[in-house]
Amino acid sequence: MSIELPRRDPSGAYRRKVTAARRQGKKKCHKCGEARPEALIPKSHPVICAKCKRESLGHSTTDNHHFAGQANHPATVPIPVNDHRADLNTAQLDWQEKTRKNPDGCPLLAAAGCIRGFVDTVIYLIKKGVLWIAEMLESAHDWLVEQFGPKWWVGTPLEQFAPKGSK
Amino acid sequence: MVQNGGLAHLSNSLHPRDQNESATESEPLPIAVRVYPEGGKQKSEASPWQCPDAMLVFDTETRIDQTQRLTFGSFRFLVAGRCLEEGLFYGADLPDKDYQTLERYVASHPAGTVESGVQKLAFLSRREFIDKIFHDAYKAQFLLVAFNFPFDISRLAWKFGTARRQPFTGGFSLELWSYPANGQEHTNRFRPSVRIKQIDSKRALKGFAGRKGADDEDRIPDDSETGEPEEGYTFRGHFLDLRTLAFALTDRGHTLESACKAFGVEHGKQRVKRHGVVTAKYIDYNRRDVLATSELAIKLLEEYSRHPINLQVTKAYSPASIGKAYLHAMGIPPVLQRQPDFPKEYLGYATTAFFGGRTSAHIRKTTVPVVYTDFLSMYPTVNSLMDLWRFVTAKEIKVVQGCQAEIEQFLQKLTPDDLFNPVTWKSLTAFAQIIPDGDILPSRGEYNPDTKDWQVAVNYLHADRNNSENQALWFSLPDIVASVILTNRLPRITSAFRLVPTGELESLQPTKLLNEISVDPKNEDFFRVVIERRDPLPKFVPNGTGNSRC
Repeated sequence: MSIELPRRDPSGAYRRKVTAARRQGKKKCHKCGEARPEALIPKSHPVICAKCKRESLGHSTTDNHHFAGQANHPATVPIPVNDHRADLNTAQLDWQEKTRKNPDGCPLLAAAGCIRGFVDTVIYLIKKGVLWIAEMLESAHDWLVEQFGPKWWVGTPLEQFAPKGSK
Repeated sequence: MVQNGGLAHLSNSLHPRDQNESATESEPLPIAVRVYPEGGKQKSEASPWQCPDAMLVFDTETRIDQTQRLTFGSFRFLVAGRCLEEGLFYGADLPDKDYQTLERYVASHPAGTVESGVQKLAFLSRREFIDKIFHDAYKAQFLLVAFNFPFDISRLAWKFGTARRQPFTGGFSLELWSYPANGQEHTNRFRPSVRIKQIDSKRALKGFAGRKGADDEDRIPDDSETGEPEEGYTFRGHFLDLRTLAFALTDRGHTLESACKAFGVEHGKQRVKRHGVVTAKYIDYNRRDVLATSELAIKLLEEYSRHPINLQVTKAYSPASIGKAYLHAMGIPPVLQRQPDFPKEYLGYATTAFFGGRTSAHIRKTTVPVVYTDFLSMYPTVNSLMDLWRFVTAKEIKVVQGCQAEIEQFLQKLTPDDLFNPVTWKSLTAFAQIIPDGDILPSRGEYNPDTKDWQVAVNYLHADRNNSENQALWFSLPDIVASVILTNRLPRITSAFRLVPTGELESLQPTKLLNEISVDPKNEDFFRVVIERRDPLPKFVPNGTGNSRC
């Protein structure tokens, strides 16, 4: 199951993604290989991503992300700059404009912004902080099977974690 | 006399030449020949094209009066085959009652989208649809998909004019984007118009025009490595008419219903009893059409992707387009690319001698005995018998002039039995200029005085006897052979040339038809492979109604 929220404006989100990609062509950061178009610095020669650029300048590589939108709540969470630009900022662009900008300070829209921002941030954290572990475990399993056979855990401390009743 | 194109006045009679009957008694009929126009642009090498994974599929319903104005329509936005948004749009002058029917429908029916899509049906005016959804489609370069695209896109236009620039000259220029000012609609020049030029019932050229103030990202070509805007580049759009693609893939004209059946679409087209009146059933019918169209698009794109060719699917106008792309895949460039100095006048002569396929019934509404005959793959069979693959793969094609005596001698000795000897066919690669005088030859004329369209027929052909020297025409030797067999007389030949292939292209490379059947152009006659492997080929249609013969 992939984590995907119902989109409010799928054609708009697609347009933003595709036009950003087209502007970058097939470029990648010459230092770290970052290829997400939103994370690359426009018109940089050689091409560089925001994280590497800041590293080269000795600046912090994290951003304080206004998870609910700056107009809705002052609270921020530190996020790596490339993820801030490529994931969380673009996720906010799918919100209704009135929620994102909340020009009159409506409390209902502020609450909507908090909920939307919380969901976006949790999904980001799940993807970045948790899902990779499952993928790593699966890769490790494959490697161990290759090295020691299909029952590689038998006779090791990991045997206690084997599902009960498994043959 | 016209040597490489134009009109010639010849008498074209349906009656055999009679020594006592003067051909001038027949009524002269102008005939036309194809021309070879010089100065066409050499097409540059196409870079590999990545088909967009997003598509906007739409269909419109119209009034049933002569205006056929838009009443409403629906659309589906798909990415990687998954529908993320569905909605209805309506015409600006829709009566209140119809508007309310649509509004009630939208309130009570969910969208047919996937879980991560928009669950509510969108409900937009025509302008909102164009300004938001169509604009996204233009900016993100979606595939724009419809069945019979020119009709549906024209219903979305608020204004139309005549297209002026090539290759759309004489076609339509459709204005989709507008803005209101001073109580009137005005064309938005900062948005592109759509140009359409119909080629025939199945095919039309389609493209966005340029616009004022194009954004940088709109001036970045599809295949750009750098992402830099290019001066003078205009995005022309990815318009996919499924009627055209179904024809290109099957060589058959299809309706949406027949195409859905032929390609095994799960939710095929449904029928409705009454058109033009906006009811919930009618809206269901329209949404179903769009669902059927989107499923058909996915099936056709799958089928198309089986061909290992570098041709944008939106440019596959006919089976010939796909055939030409296969030649390219086998490393076979057009003749003038490999041999730029090929004498153009001979291309002109050969072009005038070109007549496409023809079907004719000479005796109508009369009971006559018949012999049932069936030809399997007639075109490739003739090509193979004449060994034309040598020409396709030749490094160079030479023109041998002054073959008049040789060809006359060949025709004098020719008997019908000779044509059962394959060797005879190999010597038919020649053209002769003749003054027709009761020979049975193909000609292109306005045979139907009512429709006045140009049709090809094989008739007794006479030059104007008062001016016959100036009315010689070029014909291919096989057409002349047919005339000799049918009339048992030699035509009056004034000039002739033969084509001879020399050498072999170095760029030849093997390919696989439909990614399954290997063809090595160096060692195999492609035409023969096509004939021999035709029946064992998996049929292109899942329910097996295909495999036409001609």
